[in-house]
Amino acid sequence: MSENLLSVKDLTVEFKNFGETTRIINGISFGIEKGESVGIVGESGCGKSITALSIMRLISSPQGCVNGSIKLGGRELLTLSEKEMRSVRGQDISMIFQEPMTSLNPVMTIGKQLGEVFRFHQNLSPAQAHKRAIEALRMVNIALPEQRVNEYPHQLSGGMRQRVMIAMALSCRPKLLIADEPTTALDVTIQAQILELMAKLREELGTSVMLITHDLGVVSEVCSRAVILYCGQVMEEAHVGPLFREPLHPYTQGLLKSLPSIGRREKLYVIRGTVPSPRDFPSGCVFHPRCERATERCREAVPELKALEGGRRVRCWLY
Amino acid sequence: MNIMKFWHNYKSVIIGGTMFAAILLVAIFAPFIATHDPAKISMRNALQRPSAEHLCGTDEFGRDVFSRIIYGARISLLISMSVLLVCGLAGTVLGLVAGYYSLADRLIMRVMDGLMAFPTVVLALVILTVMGSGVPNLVLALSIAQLPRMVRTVRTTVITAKQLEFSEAARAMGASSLRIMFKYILPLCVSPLIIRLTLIMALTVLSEASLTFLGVGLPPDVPSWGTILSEARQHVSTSPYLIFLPGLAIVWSVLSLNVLGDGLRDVLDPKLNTN
Repeated sequence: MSENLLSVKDLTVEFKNFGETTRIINGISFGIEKGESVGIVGESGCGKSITALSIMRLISSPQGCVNGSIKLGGRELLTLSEKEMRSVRGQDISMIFQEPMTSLNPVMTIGKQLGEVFRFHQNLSPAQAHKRAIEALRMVNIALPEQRVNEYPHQLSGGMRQRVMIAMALSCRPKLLIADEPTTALDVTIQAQILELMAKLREELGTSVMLITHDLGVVSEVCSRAVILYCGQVMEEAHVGPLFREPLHPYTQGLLKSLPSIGRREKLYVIRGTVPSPRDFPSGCVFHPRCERATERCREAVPELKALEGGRRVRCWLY
Repeated sequence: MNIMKFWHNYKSVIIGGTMFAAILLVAIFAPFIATHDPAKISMRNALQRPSAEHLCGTDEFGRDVFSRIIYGARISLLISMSVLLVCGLAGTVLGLVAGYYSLADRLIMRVMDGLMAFPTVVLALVILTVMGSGVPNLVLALSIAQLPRMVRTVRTTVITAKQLEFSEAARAMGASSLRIMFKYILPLCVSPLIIRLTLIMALTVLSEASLTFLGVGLPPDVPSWGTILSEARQHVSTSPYLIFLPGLAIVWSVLSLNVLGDGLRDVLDPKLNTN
């Protein structure tokens, strides 16, 4: 295993609300190598986005409390000052958000917004920033960039807006790109184009990608490794090939079985129950109330995240 | 068809704007419109009835009332524009800070709530009584009295805008809080601000006249609509015509600004724009 670009160790995130502390993320560890693309997969509310926001240090501090260690290229991010962190954001790590419709400021032109990044991090003049904005738009295959650069977000389609977001995120050549469900709000054909574009740019620029999604299909297409999260814990981590061929954790198996496949007209598999509220996580293995293979042992003791061969890890008593 | 549609959508703006532009023109060209020097006292001509010489008669000191009203437009506009500037700037900054930082919000909004507990004119009256009359003090007093409404308008927009994803996206690109506040959020406040400011201007014209009428706003030698009205009141039984024109001027300007503000709200607020 080569040097990790990003390594997250024992990350815990807690939120305090009216004196009550709720632990959303419970000791997550994972790493992303240089140029690698890793999928973070899980149901809604399992802590995917919170993980991303804590890497960016975007969790507001009085209510949210982040502990553990997040290292980017050997530098600890959690102890940086707000000013140092500002130069990391956008330059070393950047983020694409889920909603391209609301992630762009409606009263600023595309060019001005794109140019902002250059102006924070490279101190370019407005004219130079404008020029770089046109280049950035060309990079993400937007037709007529000279014209588009002066338009407002409402004049662009959803797919184009997401391209603009990608252009903005990649314009300073960050080492790590965090994409928080970048294709959820888009239709399928645009989805494919955006994913292709991200893969292409990843190869050209050598950026590592952390792709947050609940869509296993997307993961199998663009990621080399996947981390399965459930209730703020890593359930399984594996390379995409082995993971899809032979999922180990019952939760991963359930997720894969609940994917629809074209032509099969039988009823879709459903993992029974719902994600428990972070306020009362079950004892033992957090997944046991929904697990078909749960035993007495699962109810009583928390399984360790066990390392298997091939860089694979799984948190289940079965292995 | 197109003209009809344009008229339908913008009629309040056009009517209010034209009425207001008329006052603006009168104020700018006051020396050309006025028939006499508004400050010239001639006791021989005291309290004359309206005639070709004195269009609206003369007051108890023989000053030409018509000319005084024309010059009064200048004072009214000067005061309301100054209030607009002072109140607009202070209100925007305070509103931005209050909307953005929750700690500052508690502090600023409690003070604003305190100010809001008093009616505008009463609050301005108290401030003026303490500080004495005069144009700068009047501007300051009216600005303070109008401030809470202004701050609230900005704060509400900021709170909404702060939660939209683009503020977070800007932060994720490395923008500082100040930059997000002024470059990303402030432009969104512009349309509610314009609407609020036209209404504040209308209220200012009215409050200035009321305060001066009550004798605390401006010294009597300044030709303002309030002073003219307050002098005319003493002679209302013998020369009732003296109160009509200053009253009309006040009504005209307040009405024009209210209509303009209403029209701007219809045009600028996308939620109300049903056609």
